[in-house]
Amino acid sequence: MDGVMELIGRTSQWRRRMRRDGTGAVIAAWLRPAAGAGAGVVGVYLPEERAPDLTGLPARTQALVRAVLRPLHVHALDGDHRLPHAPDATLLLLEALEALAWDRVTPPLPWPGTPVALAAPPRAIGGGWLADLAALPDVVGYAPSGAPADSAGALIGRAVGGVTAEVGGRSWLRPLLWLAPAADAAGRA
Amino acid sequence: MTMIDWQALLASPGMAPAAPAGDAVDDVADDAAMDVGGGGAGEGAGTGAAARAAPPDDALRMVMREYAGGDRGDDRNVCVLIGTVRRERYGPNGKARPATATPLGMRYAPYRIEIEEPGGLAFSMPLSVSARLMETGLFTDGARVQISGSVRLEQTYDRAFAVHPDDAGLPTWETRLDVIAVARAPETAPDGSWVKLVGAVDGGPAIRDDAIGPGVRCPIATVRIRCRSALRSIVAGARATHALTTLTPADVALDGSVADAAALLRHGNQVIVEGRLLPRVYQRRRGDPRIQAALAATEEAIRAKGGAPDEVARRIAAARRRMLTGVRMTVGVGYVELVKGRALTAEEVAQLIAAGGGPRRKAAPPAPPPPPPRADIDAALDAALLALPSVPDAVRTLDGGAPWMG
Repeated sequence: MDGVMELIGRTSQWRRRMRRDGTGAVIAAWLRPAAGAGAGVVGVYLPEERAPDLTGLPARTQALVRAVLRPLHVHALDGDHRLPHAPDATLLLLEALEALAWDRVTPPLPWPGTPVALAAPPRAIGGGWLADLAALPDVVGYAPSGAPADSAGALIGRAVGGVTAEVGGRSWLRPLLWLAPAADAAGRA
Repeated sequence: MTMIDWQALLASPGMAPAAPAGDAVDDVADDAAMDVGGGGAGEGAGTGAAARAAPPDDALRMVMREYAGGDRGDDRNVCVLIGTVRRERYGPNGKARPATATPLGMRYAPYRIEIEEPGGLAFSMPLSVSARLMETGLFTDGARVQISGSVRLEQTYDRAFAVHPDDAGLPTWETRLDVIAVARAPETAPDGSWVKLVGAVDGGPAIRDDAIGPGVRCPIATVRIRCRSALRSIVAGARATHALTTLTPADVALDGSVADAAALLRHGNQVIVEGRLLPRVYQRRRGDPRIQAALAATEEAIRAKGGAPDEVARRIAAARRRMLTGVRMTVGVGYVELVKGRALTAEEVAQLIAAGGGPRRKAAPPAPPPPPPRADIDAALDAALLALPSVPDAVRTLDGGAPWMG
């Protein structure tokens, strides 16, 4: 997915996780965004070769993360939020290009967003709707308000995030992409 | 400085184990019952004094006087070493490593003592020598000395795993010898060590097999002995006492060569152990992220130096082997006496060896519970989504709101 986004949020400890495709490991953390992204929690990772020294990454602190939307399935560890349909796995949404301790001054740059298409008809929830996305398996498109969109209509993902829920002693994750009509977004740009 | 004959001292009648005090079962009471006349059991001792044996004799008093830390020297944790002292050196020119200052302002000179036992065992171990002991003039490079002290585990940092100048390194536990008294070693006395520990077995044993020949293995149990001493005030007649607890690792062979070895295999047993210091080689956990980071940094440094690919690969492999292999001093047990508790039966020992260890070894984690029904998870996630506090900032920008201020 195109476009670099900047997020500010509190990071968890960075830990090593194995890719589900068996091609090695990544260094990952959970980020609770305070700005620049949707609500909830987002998985962030770096290829292991780019982070040989875990002590250099901002852990358990407010961090500024520059990242691209590149979802990756990894084997879940204890304490991870898991995918409902694959309890041994989890999805890290963002590949970080840079993770720095936030100076508490610099605001994140706005993310231009990414065009998406729906993979299935949406379903209503609250005042908005949810739908699976064609190019982003396991990521759910979410529009917090408005009538369910036509699945053929052009949409743009404006923010990433994720909700979690504790059920059966485990934490479950629904990665989210907040959606807006592309025409709407373009008109206001 | 007078040399103390520890063997004679500890074999004196006043050092015989006292009977347990009543039905007391807590550790402190057990320790009081175990107190066999060592430090802290001096005149006017407080709790448990009645159960204690006679006060220490003059020789032990002298050691206690000479020890800067007060009357900490006792016979619950005693180590006697005979070997050759070497100043720790570093760098290509072999510069003497300078003394280090503790956070409390004391200065300690880093030395090692080299021990070459008649049986062929040879090793060295670190010593921390206080400025007061340095004044004895006995700590010179190559001097053969007899050292009396106590052993304990101490947390330190292995600088080999530091990945940048400000990194202290890998936290690790090292067996240290606290030097209490030192004297010139008798010329006829061979190099060697003797350790006596009086205390309780702490936790279950870790069982491993030592290969002693092709296809022949000897089961070894590693246990920890917890020794608790009472520190008394420096003022005679003061009623305050303070506990000093040390933990010392001990290895005992389970091949029948040590009588009553089974007494060490049960948590809480009160025991008297005699043995000698032994170096034990172990493999570090390569899954530890700090170790991985240090290995990666070392590999990077070796690659940066360049060279033929085969040579670089060999150097990296050698460095990995060196860093992943650790050595820790332990007490090789040669005598066990059960004072209180119960020794395992031969059947229980056999089962323990077959199972590969006691409670210290972690049991296999229980199988994870089956995941709840998918519908329950989805319903919970829907509820969590509806409970989100507000429309995210990035989405709100579409409506003209502040771009990021929440």
